[in-house]
Amino acid sequence: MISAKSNVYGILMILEGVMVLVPLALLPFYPGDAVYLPFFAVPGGVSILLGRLLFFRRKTLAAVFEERESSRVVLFAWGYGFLLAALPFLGLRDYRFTQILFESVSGLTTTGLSVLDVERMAHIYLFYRSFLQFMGGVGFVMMILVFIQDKDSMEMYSAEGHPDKLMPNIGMTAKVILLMYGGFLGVGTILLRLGGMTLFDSVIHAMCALSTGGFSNRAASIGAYHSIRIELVTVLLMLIGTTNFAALLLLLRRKFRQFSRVSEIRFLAVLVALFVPVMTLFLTYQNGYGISESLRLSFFNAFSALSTTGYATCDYSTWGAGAIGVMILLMLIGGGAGSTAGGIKLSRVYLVLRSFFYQVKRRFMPERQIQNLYYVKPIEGRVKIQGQPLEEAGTYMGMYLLLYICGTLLLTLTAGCSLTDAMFEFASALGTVGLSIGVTGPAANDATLFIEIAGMLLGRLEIFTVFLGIVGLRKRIKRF
Amino acid sequence: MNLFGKKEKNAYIIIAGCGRLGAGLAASLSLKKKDVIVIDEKEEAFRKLAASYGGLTMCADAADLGKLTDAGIQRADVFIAVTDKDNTNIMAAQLVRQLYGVRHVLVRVYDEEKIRLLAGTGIEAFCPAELSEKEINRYMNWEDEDED
Repeated sequence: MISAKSNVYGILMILEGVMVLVPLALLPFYPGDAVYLPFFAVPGGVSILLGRLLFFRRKTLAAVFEERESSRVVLFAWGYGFLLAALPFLGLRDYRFTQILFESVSGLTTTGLSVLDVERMAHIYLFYRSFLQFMGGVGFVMMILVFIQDKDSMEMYSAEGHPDKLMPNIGMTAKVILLMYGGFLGVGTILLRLGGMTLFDSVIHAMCALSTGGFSNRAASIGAYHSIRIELVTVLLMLIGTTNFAALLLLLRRKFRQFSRVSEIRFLAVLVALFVPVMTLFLTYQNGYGISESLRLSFFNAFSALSTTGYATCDYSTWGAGAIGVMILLMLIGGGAGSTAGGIKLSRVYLVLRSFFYQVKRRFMPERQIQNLYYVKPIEGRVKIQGQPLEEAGTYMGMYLLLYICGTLLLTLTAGCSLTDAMFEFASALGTVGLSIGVTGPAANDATLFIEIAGMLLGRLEIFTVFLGIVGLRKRIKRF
Repeated sequence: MNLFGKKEKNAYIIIAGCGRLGAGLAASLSLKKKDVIVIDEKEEAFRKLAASYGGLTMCADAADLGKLTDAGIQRADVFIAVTDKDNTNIMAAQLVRQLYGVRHVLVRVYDEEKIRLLAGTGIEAFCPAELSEKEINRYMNWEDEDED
């Protein structure tokens, strides 16, 4: 039925339709939730049908490539996904459409900010929210690549923000990534179950930790369990989620030495070693927690922010500005490139920092002396730092921070909160983290939610793709 | 769409040299869903690869044994040496053939004389000049006249 000749938009619609139908598998276990059946079955069914109908318009993948619209395909996949994924939430009658859309965007971008009341939500919706994050973590394009590979697959793959090739074949790469992702889900669920969660909670939390999403079925998030074992397992899963898939593959192949040489991994270790003690210090002196208490808090929350997951073990509104500042910094830096995490990405920050130190050092070097800078990538090995990647990293970082400032200021305007709160909240949205200091919640107004939706979108698809898609769309409209 | 069906082994192809021939070959093999890795000394050479190329690239000397091992030479079914240096091509091919016993080894050699070096090694060598000559003869039907 589905082949490389099928319409790529149709394939995406079918895939996303199936995604909406998956939670129905839970009905045998929670028969009481059957009242919500139509809210899942109708959007899912219609989407699959529409997608199938699109196949009759013979616009093949090859044609898409010729028009250079791979970033538009990616934008469509996500835009359509957000709308479709919002529809089942209509079954919860007490919410405005903006709130529902916000939840769907927050899910698929693996952010984890929530405006719904999770404590009294049906199981099927709890599962559905987490499943959205699990799917959003790897991306739609990655998933269709398992089924079809064509001329422009590679372009769409990189347009969706996956920088790495793991295997000498793009289809294999997608398969290996999905296999690892599924495998870690199994392991994570078992570990959380052993940690003392119920099976349902384990599945949900494993899905959301791996995708660095951070939805929980408790309002107090992981903090509700008061269990150090669960916290440790969650940190492990978040760490896996934020590690580049290529580096994870090195681990699975037991190439530990190569793994430990990867620049991103080293940088991550340095950041953690630096900021966990700093945060502990701030928490002890500014908030008056005991040493062990603040160590535990900063360990978990630093990982939660850096991995852009957004699980919380406490209420941040009581924290002092120092610790909040460290959290914001970590959220902005974000996780590894080519993982499910958001933020500026470790590799970009690393490149910019290395380049900065080199510039300083060069002032003191003889004019004609040249020094080559290298950084280590998981697959390619040692790569020279130069030209395009460096330029890209610098531009991205600058643009990211500009957008961050704009969004923060807008948020102070719409939500009427302090600058610190707005900074925390928008760093959380733009980095697809999902920690909240209290600005986002059932009481938040539509303007606030839309600003955060924009932030989450830009953060997940990595700014460039969004702008490429919009520019392409504008050109097309001009032609008519 | 063959997710869980029969698992047939996909040919693993290593191409040394990302020139016009190497890059073109890599892109077309990659489209045919073969496993492909291209090795070249210069990072810039990979710019010639089409955007649709979905395989791996590696920046290394084609005759560097350690790098060839990293590229997975033990698993390779086909090794194609098409760098612009005859000696590199021949040396890489001999290494690969004799040490790892790769089944199909193909080499481009510009200098016709050097093809003799590879006689009896099981390495398939071809020479662009010779091929072009053949093509011209075929086009003009000159070969038939010889026989008359």
